[in-house]
Amino acid sequence: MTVLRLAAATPDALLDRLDREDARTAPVGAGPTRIAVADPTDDRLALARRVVAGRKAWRGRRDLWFAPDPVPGPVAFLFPGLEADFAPQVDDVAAWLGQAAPDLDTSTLGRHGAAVIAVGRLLDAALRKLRITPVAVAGHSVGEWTAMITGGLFAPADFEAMLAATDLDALRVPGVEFAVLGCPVERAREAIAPVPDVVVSHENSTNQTVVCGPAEPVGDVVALLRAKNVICQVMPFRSGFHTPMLAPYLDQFRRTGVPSLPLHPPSVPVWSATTARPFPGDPAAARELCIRHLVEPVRFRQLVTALRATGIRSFVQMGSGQLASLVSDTLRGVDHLAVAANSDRGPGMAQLRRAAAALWVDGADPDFTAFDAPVEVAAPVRDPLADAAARHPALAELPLLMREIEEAVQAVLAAADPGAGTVSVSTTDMPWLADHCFVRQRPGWPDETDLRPVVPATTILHHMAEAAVRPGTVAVGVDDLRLHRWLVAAPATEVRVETRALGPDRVAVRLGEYAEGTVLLAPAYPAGPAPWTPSPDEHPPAITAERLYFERWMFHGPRYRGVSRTIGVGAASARAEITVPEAPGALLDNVGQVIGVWLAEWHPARSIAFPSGLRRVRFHGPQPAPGTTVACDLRITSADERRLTADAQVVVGGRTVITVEGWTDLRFDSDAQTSAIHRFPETSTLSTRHDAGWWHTADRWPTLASREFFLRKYLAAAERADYDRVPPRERRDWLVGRFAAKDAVRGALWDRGFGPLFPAEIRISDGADGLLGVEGAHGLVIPPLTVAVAAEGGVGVALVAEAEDRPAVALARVGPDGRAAAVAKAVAAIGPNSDTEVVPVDGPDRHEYAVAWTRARHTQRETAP
Amino acid sequence: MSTIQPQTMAPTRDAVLDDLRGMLAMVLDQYGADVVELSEITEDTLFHDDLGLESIDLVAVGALLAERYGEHVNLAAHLAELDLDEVIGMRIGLLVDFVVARTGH
Repeated sequence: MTVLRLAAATPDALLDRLDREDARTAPVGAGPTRIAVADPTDDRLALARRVVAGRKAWRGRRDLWFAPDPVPGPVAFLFPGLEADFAPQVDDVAAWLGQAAPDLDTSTLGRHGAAVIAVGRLLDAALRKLRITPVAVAGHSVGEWTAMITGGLFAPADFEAMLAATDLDALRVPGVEFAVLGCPVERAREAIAPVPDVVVSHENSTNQTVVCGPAEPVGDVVALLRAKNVICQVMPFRSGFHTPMLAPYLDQFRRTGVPSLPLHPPSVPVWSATTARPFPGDPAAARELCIRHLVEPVRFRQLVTALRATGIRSFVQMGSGQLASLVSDTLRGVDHLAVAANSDRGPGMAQLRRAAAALWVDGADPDFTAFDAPVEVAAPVRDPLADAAARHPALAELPLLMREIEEAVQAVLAAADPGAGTVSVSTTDMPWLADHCFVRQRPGWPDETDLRPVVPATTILHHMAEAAVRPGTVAVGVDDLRLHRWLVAAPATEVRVETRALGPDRVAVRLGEYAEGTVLLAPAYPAGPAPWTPSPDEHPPAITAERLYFERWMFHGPRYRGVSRTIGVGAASARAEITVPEAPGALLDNVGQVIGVWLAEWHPARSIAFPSGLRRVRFHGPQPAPGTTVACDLRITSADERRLTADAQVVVGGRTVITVEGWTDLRFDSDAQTSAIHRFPETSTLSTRHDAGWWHTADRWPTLASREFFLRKYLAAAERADYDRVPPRERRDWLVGRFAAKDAVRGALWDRGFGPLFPAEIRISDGADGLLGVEGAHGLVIPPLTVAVAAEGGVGVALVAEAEDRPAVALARVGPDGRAAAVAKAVAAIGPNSDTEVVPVDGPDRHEYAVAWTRARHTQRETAP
Repeated sequence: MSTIQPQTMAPTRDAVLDDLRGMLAMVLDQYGADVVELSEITEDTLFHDDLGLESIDLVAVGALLAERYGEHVNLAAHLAELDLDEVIGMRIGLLVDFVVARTGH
């Protein structure tokens, strides 16, 4: 099917275009007056001319859409519920999307519902591929669940897991029927008033109401109304949804059905047809509404009216059926477009083209080129043995036999021989590591080594388990995972993976010099323990999931951000919801992030911690699929200044799937300033500015690990090479000098109006004459500056001046000889014209220092840094 | 929108078709377009495929028919005897049949 689309500045200009011989093949053109004609036959083109000449909007009859001058109208997606007829045409749409065609089985109520939802989601993907995005989503009856999924209130994987585990058919009131009545709700109420047990279940539209009740009285109502010329239809399925009659059947649903699913902030406002308002933001209220949805009438008429009142003018029916006509019946006489994205009659892609054209006519801007985009279809994997078996029935058992032999051989080899292999570690092999970088740099920073992408401990665990697992077994746990060194992915590296069988079900795995542990194997996953009850002293955490990442309490990028809701923290506990990310090992990494939630709550200035080992991890089932929402309950078993140890459970749908015991994090030395440089290096400094303009900082990283940590925040690759050339005993002072110098330069640039500057963007190098050179790195252009630095005993001082100046700075620790002696010493270092001050410096030992400085041009050399 | 006068005489087939044209024009008019030429509507015109009307629009047609010919011309009762497919695939000629049958002597 072709759809002719033409646009012009005015209806007259559009008429001119329609009158031309080549109207059918003309380019679309531009302008606010638009027409679309499906299968533009001569008849339809003649109608098109009359429609345009009439200058009134025409929306869809006889496959023709016209709008004289549409203001682009916001779009709502409306997802259908169960209808009498259900024969959507979606195979071609699924193929176009590269997806499997949904199962359209309607043999039971539950399957029918699942099929309706699947079609709605497929069409949602199709419209989004066409760049048609809604400003609101809603649904009719079961379609409201589709709206909740596509609007982001539920994770699709959670919903699917729930649906698989739920028997919707159990949610059914025996013996009740629905009758669709072609009359307003008032007339329906009048008719059922004298009839006990019959209630209104759907206020569909101005002229359509559905009532529900036991078959016999419903039959009476239908007969009565038919006699009065009301068109009635008894629905071919029974359920009792949307009536109080369902209430006694809801216990199980409340516990394990839709209301039990984790709720997320919606990506698009999701409207409820129970209240004709958007779903409430409060999860408890939203859950309650999920219950009301099933026991109160569907108020679709009010919903459509309310949506229209917000300015939404275009309504897309996200499935086959009659929903669009309910919209048009309700909005009779009100400017609107109601169009179906699918139809029982005719190919799915053709109807999709109609819908896109209709929305285009009404001012939307679909991406029509997507219709012509090639379809990516995964080639089916062929199994030559299976093929052979299919051709030769005598060989039917061959594939099975071969598999058994293969497994036996592998088992023998595994037992006899220590295994070895390698794993390639780089951001090309593991692209998700781009979101697990210890150092933040300016976006687009060219040197990956400055970002320090590090393989998370939990990804290491994941690879170890994979290396150890043998055919016929699954990895059910890891004991004594020890992490010796950061496994850094830039530059790329190959790591040797060695496995050694310790017994039939225990394999020692060593990942180069980085990590080691013991993987436990079993034929099947053992059952997990019962989930813990939440700690009684829990309160809502100050740090929400959004704040956790936005405020960079966690350094992780999108592919490792799984904490989707922080639920509670107690004195020694934390609970959060995790939406499982795709990256390997990311689920357990997020368990570690829940430790971060606890630290951010109780120790915000000292929240930096990294795992050093896991004593015992047990898997009680396969890894939850990406997108699944899981609950994580964390118990801190010990915490002091240096380390923190925790146990954790990961629970899906009331079942414990992972238990962790003895997760140990090493805490990094930090205070408010170092915490800020960790989280926001581009706007924070490790140094403090003195009123006179010089900057000073003191070493607060007594361990080599924490020194390395802050060094990476400040020094780019070339400077790290400089650092490596400094004799080890001088490195501590060299480093504080560089930190002070970089902060002094950034401070001077911020004074001149520069925006955020990462420390690594300032390149400090040793100059020819003992002065330090200052340059912008990787494209940063800065005015000429010079900087003088002095450092002693872990304290650094730096002073920035104009390039033609000869700044100098010196410092001397106040010792037993008193302040005057220290001042004299500092002045002696740089010359008599300097200013001096004695200041306490926050250092490891909080000593006083005499600082002498001068910006004066003079010829005397200052102290070398 | 003009009102439809009640009629007492048994109408001819052509007269019924002509009445239906007027009623359909009124139903169609609610969709904001009045450019369907009435002469285009014949007994072969399809209610859904040609006119773009849905089963819910039959409610309006049924009401107009009852207003015109009396309550005994009960489209609702008639439709109850049909399959949904027959309702959706409704040809205008079938509506004429129905009216003629109910108003004939």
